[in-house]
Amino acid sequence: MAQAELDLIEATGYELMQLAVARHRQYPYVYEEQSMVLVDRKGNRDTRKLRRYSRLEENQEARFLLVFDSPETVRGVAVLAEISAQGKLNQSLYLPALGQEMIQNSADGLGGSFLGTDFSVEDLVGEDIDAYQYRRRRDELINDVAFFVVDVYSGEILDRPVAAPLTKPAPTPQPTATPQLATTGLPRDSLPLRRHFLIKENFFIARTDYFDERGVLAKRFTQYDLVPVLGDMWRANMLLMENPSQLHKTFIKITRRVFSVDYVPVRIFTEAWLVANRSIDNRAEENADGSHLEPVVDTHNIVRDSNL
Amino acid sequence: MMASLLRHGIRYRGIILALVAIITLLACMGLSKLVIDTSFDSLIPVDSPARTVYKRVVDEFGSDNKTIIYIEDQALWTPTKLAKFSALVTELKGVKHVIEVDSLMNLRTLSGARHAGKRTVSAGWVLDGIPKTKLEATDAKARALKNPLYRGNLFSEDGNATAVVVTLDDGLQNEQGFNQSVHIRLQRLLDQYAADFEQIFQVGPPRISAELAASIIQDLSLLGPLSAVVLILAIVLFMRSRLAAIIPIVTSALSIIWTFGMLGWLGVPLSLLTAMIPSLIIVIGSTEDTHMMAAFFRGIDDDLDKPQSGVTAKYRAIATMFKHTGLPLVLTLMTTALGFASNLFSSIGLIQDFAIASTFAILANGIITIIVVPILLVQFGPVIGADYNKNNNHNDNDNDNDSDSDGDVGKKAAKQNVAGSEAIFGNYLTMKIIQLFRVLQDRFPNYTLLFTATLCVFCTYHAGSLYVTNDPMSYFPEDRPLIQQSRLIHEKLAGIKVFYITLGAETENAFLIPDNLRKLEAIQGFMRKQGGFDSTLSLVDHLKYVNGVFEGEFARLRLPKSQALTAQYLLFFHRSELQNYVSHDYKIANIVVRHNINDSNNLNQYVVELEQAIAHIVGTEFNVDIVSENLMVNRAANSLMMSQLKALGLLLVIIFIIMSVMFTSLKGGAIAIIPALIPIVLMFGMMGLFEIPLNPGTAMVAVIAVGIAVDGTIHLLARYQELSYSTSDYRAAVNQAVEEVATPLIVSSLALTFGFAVLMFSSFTVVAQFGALAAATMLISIFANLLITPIIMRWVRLVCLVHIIAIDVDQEVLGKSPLFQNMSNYQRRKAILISELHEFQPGEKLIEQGTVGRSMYVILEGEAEVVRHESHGSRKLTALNSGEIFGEIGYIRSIKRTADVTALTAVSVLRFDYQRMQKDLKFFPHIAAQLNFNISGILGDRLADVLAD
Repeated sequence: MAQAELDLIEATGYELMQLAVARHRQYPYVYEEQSMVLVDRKGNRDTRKLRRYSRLEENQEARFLLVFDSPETVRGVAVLAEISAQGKLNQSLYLPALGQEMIQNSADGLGGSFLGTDFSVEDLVGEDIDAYQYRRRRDELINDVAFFVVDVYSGEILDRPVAAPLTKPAPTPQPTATPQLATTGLPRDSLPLRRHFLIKENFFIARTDYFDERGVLAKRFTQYDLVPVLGDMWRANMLLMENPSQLHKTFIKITRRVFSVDYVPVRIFTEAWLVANRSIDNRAEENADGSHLEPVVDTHNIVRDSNL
Repeated sequence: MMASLLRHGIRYRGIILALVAIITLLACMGLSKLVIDTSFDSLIPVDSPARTVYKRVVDEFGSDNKTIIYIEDQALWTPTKLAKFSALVTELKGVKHVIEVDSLMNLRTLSGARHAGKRTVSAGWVLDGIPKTKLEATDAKARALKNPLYRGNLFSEDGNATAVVVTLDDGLQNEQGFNQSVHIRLQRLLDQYAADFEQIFQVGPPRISAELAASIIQDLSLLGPLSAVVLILAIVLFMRSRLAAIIPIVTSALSIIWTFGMLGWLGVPLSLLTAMIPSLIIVIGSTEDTHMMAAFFRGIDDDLDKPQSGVTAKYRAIATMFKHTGLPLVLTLMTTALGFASNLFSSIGLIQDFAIASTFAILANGIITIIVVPILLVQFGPVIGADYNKNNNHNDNDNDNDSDSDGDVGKKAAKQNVAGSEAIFGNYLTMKIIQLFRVLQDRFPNYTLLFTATLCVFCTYHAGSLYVTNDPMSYFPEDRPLIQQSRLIHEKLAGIKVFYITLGAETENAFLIPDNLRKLEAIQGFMRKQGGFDSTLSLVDHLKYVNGVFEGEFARLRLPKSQALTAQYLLFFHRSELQNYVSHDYKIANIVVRHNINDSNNLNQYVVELEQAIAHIVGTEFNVDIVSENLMVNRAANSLMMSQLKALGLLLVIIFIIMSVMFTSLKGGAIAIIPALIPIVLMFGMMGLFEIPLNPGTAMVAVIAVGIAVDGTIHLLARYQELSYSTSDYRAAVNQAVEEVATPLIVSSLALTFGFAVLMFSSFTVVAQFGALAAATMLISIFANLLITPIIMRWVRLVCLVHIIAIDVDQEVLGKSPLFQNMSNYQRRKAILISELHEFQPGEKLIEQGTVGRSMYVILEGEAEVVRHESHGSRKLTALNSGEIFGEIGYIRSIKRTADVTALTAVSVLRFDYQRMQKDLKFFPHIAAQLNFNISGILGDRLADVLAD
């Protein structure tokens, strides 16, 4: 057995999460075109089309912009999120029908639900692994895919790191419904907030189960159609958030993804650009040099999703 | 035929009893299959088109049946209480079959502000976890109360009361025992938290269903035995016979087992109405037992001085019982069963089930009574009675006779029984009632009728204000905790009853268009002005709320200005938050209305007004439906009224036809109806006067009362027509019939009154009201039957069809008799019945020369001679054989008989009395006229013969 494999056998949950983040860290400049499908308990579908822009600065400031393209009535609605280097989240909204001004949103994701979807803002911007405690669980084999399993706990309860004394991977998959605490030193009444399933092969978090206060599955986030995008980095082209009790779910299908600084210039993350309705009127915006934004391709920094 | 059948029953009583035992055993096996139905589904007409609409709306917008956990505490918004609250909500989510729990723990709220020219919107949970400090809790309270969508719906105005809305698995709600098991689980949990909050209780389908089931069982276990006790007391009091009290209990017990066994086998569920069947069987079924035993005792009384053994006397008494009660028994059984069966016309499943169960119960009880009572009387009847002596002779200290069963002992026992029967007929109360009524009948018949008619007019007037209600919550008494707590929720939050107003458009996104939203707003505005409903909530309220958040408080009263802004605001709601108010494609909008109106009449009036207003507001642009399960149940009130009126009308017609046919007279049919109509008219008047609503319980009183009240009339008419065969003094016949029937009629009516009054102890208001009204109706039926009916009876002469058919005469004799020329067989038979049948022994004089008589005779059988006595001796004029007539001169003119007519052999003759025929001319004009015509012919022939001689 190679040393690296032996290391993984003994890796803690936190260490596995560090590996996952390191492998699939946010690419600095990403432009995506998405189709979002909301499915209610009766199977009715509402489809929205939107664009997602993200930009990670060298000083670790991150910017995200989501712009709705359809339905027509919500075209131009934008959500701008900025995360400071210190991790402070600042959100603002733009509702074209309300007037040409940005509206500050002072709370998280509009009360847990992001624009009527089953996602929260945190689901979309990623998890700050330093804000939580992690505990590794027994590995699982699901549909012939081997997973590391890591439970996420509130950072207020436990001191990090908490290592589960696992010596070898379990050969058979285990049910993943109600979490069972092992002898990890955790308080008996503490329950995980969620559970990540990391594909062993590439450390990609392919599934996350969210639990309610009783430890019962409340939501399940699954990422499908995984593609390698750059080196060891993988991305999913299909995201699904399911609410099993209320039987509604939200699909996000990435129809186009471009990794390019040219697609996410700084100016589009500004109030001026948004309230001028540039996001609506001029998607194929011109660069400063007069060329169109979209055709600019940096072959070193761009990965096109050819399969979508 | 009937009597013959019954006699065979006694002869083969071993087989009969074995058959009864087998059926009873089979019924017992069916008892284990009995189920209790507490769903509201049975309160909705089966054919209601609203069912389809309701299902479609519920599929779209979710169930209107939610369970509410009400919690009130002055210190609710403190960390300690909220921690308890949170723990409760967490545990509620874990209760089996609970699929969703909405409470202040998962409520989102928005708030908006403007700082330095910048709009800020804050969104978050009312409670993001359990507050750690009092201040945090107070802030959360302020956030909650600021949201108009929650205030008055989920929170009281002061915030100290809140509702936890529990959604159960829809698919399982109609499963047997589902609601009860959920209720128990929820209640166990709430009990654990009872000490933590000032008030904590649940209201919703599981509790209502559980309370219905518990009350049904309570009614079953209380009302039946109580009725039995009342019945025994009434019979012992009025009939002074323990046997007379025991026999109805035996027949009732068997009937109850048969009925509930049948319900079990057929899968007809127990409901609040079928739960009163034991009581009904005991009280109604006992009336036939009472009449039969009264006739039995009368038979003993009649035969007491005849030389015979005790056994023979008993058999003769039973034969008398059959003779006098056989026909009325079958008729009353039919009419009572028809009364109950009429409820089958109701479109409400609850009443239909009751109709099936009660009709079967009455028929089963009738059959059991007919076959078992004679057997019981044969076995345990007082005449031969060692047991009787033991039971009745204890005061005489004469127990030596215990082992004897025949001869002197039997006679002695019989005499003692006569004492018992004298107790029946000499009952003080009965006699006083009869005496009082006799005075009115003899001295003031017209005034009595006028008074009754005036009373009926008065009651008909008040019956006009009668209203209908069918709301399940009105089934419970007002002081019941469930009702009180429902009222508390209504006062603090909003009523637990919900209905939906859906507006369907042709095109998608119709309810993003401001004009259409304004129509929704107008409808809600109208409902606020109506003032009957607690709250209305729609997409409009959500949009106004968000508009207020973004545009400032002043905009909270306004809708978004454009379709685009509406759509953009709606992004702030999760689909699940809107799913109760608008379809996903915005084609159908829904207004959720909460109220606490427990009266169908009021609710239906409000809804009718609302429908008119909506039609005015939206025109024909939208397809509008106003639905909910509760509304369907309440709307069924209208069909309840119509179906009961239909049932009542049809029943009266059927009874009229049966009675008219049975007594071969339309007047007979009318007379049978009148005493049944009077109690109903007075009952409806009382209901209108005392504002007692027509509901599934009280609606049945009319048809059931008709079926029962007519029983007494039938007994009275049957006895009267029997007595009429042997007298021309019809008034005397009426009086005698009343005297004979009065005691069993009064006893059975009082027993019914007390028996129905027992239902007033029911856990259900509708059953208690049914009991009270039915009891009052039974009392009124005594007055109608014993005071009014006799007055009217004097105007008619009845001949029973059964007796016409049963006449055993030689048709050849009738055919050749000139008196019956040109008459059909039926007319001849009827003519025989309006005459008098007399039998003479050889040597007896049928007519004595020199006397004055106004009768004419037809010889049916035997031979007689006509002998004229003259001064010089006697001369045989002629011999008379069957079919020949004599005495026709005296019939025509009041002159002395000119000869003796003496029986040579045993002779049967029909006697036609002139005065009686004159009376009967108005009752049976066609037959009397034909007879008179034939007599004229006979006289003509006689004259021709004389002239020829």
